[in-house]
Amino acid sequence: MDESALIQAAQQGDLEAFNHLVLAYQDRVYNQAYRVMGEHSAAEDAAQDAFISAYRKLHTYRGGSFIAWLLRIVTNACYDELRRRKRRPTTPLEPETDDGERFDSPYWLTDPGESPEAALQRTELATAIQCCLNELAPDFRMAIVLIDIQGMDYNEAASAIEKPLGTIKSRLARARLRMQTCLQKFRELLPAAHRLSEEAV
Amino acid sequence: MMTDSISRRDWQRLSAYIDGQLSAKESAFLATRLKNDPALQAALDDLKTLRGALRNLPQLRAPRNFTLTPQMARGRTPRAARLYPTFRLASVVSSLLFIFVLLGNIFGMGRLTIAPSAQELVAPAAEKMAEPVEMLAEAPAAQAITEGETGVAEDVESEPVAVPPEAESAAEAELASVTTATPELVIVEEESAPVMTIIPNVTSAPERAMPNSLAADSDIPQTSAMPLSRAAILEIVLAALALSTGSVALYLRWRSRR
Repeated sequence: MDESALIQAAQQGDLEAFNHLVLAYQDRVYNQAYRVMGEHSAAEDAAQDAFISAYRKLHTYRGGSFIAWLLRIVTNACYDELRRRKRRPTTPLEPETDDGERFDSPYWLTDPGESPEAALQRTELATAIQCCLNELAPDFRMAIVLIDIQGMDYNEAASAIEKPLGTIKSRLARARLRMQTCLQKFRELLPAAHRLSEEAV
Repeated sequence: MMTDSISRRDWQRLSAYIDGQLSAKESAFLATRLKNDPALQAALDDLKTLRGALRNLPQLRAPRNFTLTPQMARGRTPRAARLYPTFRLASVVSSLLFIFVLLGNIFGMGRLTIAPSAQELVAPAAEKMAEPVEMLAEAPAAQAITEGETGVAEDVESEPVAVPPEAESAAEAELASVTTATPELVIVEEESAPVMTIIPNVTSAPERAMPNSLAADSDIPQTSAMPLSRAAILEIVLAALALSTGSVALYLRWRSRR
């Protein structure tokens, strides 16, 4: 059964058809949630909430890219959770230095049983990027996650966060600049293999 | 860092450039600048590196399936959606009541059920009563009107009918030959609310003795000239209720569909 047939069946209340769509897109939805929330448990909650919300709002889907529609819902779910956290801040489970300041990166979370080289190779870049993403303001984070990580084009991203194209361009450029600045802290740790060669524009 | 040496505007152009979001003219101009400006070229390289790193991030697999169970699909209806029918019904009911009261008031049904207060009613009635007496005194065949003849006038704190002294004496002299046409205040019990009204007492008065103007005034309006009757207040309250509940219902509908 193709995507449009599944969507049509789900719109008529066929839960099994909707669950086929869930299985097809859950990785991308979870990725989006994780890159925005920066935590696995929060990402799971956001992804589950997004699918529940998507099923109930399926009658509002008017065609177009279904994954873009789903990503918009999970983005909104993440926004809601971030706003809720802002209203009710909690103390993060992070160590502090002797001066009472928090460590800049979550390297303390790495598995101590893993060899340093292997851990570095596997997690270093992703961890550094996620750490820098977490430091971005949510609006900038959404833009860079949707375009640079999810691979959406500008129009899809604008539709997902319901902002004009110019806002997306501006937010993306500023997000990239801040990411660039943040990653300088980790530059000496990044393996050269992750650097891109010149791309033809 | 290379990005320190370029302006934010240039960075924004570079960001759009690598995504192909610049116009052909802007792209050509920027390409020329890139050839002549090593700092700008280095910033572009940094930007490409960053974008490549982000695009090459490993795609995480969902730690579990997020398929929905029937319970999850059914779920709990949002509060806004639950409250919407209640407010919609309240809006419809209050609108219907408003229309009913409005029509009743227009077609006279309001007078049967909504009675003005006694004080509101007696004041214009007393004025009407004074007019014929004064005219009779000038005739000079006026009838002396005592407080006792006004019925419930004392109970409703109505001023006694004022009769000029000269007219009073003249009226006494002609009392026997002049018939009475004095309006009386009576209380009519209607449904639950007592309604005070004026019924002209013409049973013992021949028509010829009544001045034309008094005869014309004998059908004194019963509810007119009320600045804000209870019916009007009820209409305003119902209209406000209909509007407010309707607005809340629309808002709840909008919330539940978001």
